[in-house]
Amino acid sequence: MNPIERLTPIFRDVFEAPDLVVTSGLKADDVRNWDSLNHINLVVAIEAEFGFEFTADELGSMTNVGDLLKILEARGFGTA
Amino acid sequence: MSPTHPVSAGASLRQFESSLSEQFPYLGRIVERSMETFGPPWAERFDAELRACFGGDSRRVARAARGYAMFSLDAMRLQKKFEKTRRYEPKSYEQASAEVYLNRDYMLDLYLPGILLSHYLWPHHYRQLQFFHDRFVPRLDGLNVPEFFDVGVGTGFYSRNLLAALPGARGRGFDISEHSKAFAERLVAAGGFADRYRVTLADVTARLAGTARVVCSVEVIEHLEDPVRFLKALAGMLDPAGVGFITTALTAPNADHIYLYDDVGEVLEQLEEAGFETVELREEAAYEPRRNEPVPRVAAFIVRRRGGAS
Repeated sequence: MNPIERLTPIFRDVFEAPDLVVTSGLKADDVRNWDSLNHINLVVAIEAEFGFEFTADELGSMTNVGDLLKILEARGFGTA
Repeated sequence: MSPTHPVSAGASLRQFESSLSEQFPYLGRIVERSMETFGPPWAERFDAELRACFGGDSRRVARAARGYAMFSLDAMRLQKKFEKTRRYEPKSYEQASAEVYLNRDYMLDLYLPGILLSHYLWPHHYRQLQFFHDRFVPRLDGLNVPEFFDVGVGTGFYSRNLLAALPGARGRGFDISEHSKAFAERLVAAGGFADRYRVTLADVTARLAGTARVVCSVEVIEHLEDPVRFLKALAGMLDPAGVGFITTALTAPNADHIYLYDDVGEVLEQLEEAGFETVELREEAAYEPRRNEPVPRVAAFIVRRRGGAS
């Protein structure tokens, strides 16, 4: 599975949006429930799925799913 | 000299929100959400807190915002593990002291700023503060209080609130951590109360000398291996005519949480065993559970010594 395929069920679960389509351009304004608490939930769920902890700098660079994919790629999880 | 923003009403809050958002996109939304939940009084109180603590110094605001974000993230990481195990990671008080209270970098960069800001940014912590102001402080009216004790001062946040509520009283704080002592004394000084306050380094699990008409201990007992022993000592420090404010965290793992409280009844039993009578309590959750999972909660207790003045 590529990273987007692994991320999709996480996003759908955290944001309680079973039909959510995860693309690299997806950002908080596009998703209902993407508030600060759910953002932390999302980060922790992604860490659990991929088995690492984000650094503060990585978290700071994350403004949309595309940024997240770049971080995952840099950590060796392949490209979307 | 560090860069500063002009300081006026609301400016400190905007500065903090901007700093948090710049460093952690999306986390700054907590400010807007809290404003919606708690309204202008929250904004005014938090703005004043930020102004007193940081005075517009953008470097210090940024450092505190970063500490808060990482503290919150760490807490949620532990919470997710806790949802599966329903246990705190086994740790002795000595281990927690070494890893947290005596660890300068962790205390000053993450733990203390994180806790301080959480009093406004975590809904259950802010509701606990509201309970303190709305229900505990009015009970101090007419109570002659020359001195109060804050046992386990942490950030000094509640010490400072007590100093503001008791303009004629001196405050004595106790804590095991020299970093907490320094942080608390700075926080109290920023509020203009330095001449009425001092913190003594002490093992808070040992019985401390003297009694006071007001005793406060905020989120300490979950950090201990034997809370009842501590509570008995605390009861001994409370004057029979006095009143106490004791809080704890429930189902809320943290790097230094040792004693797991699953429900508030267990705390009530321990308070009673220690010699306290609970006059009023408030329990608050951090957020609504989604699938019946345990969520972090706090419980605050207004207490008297059993057999003391009613």
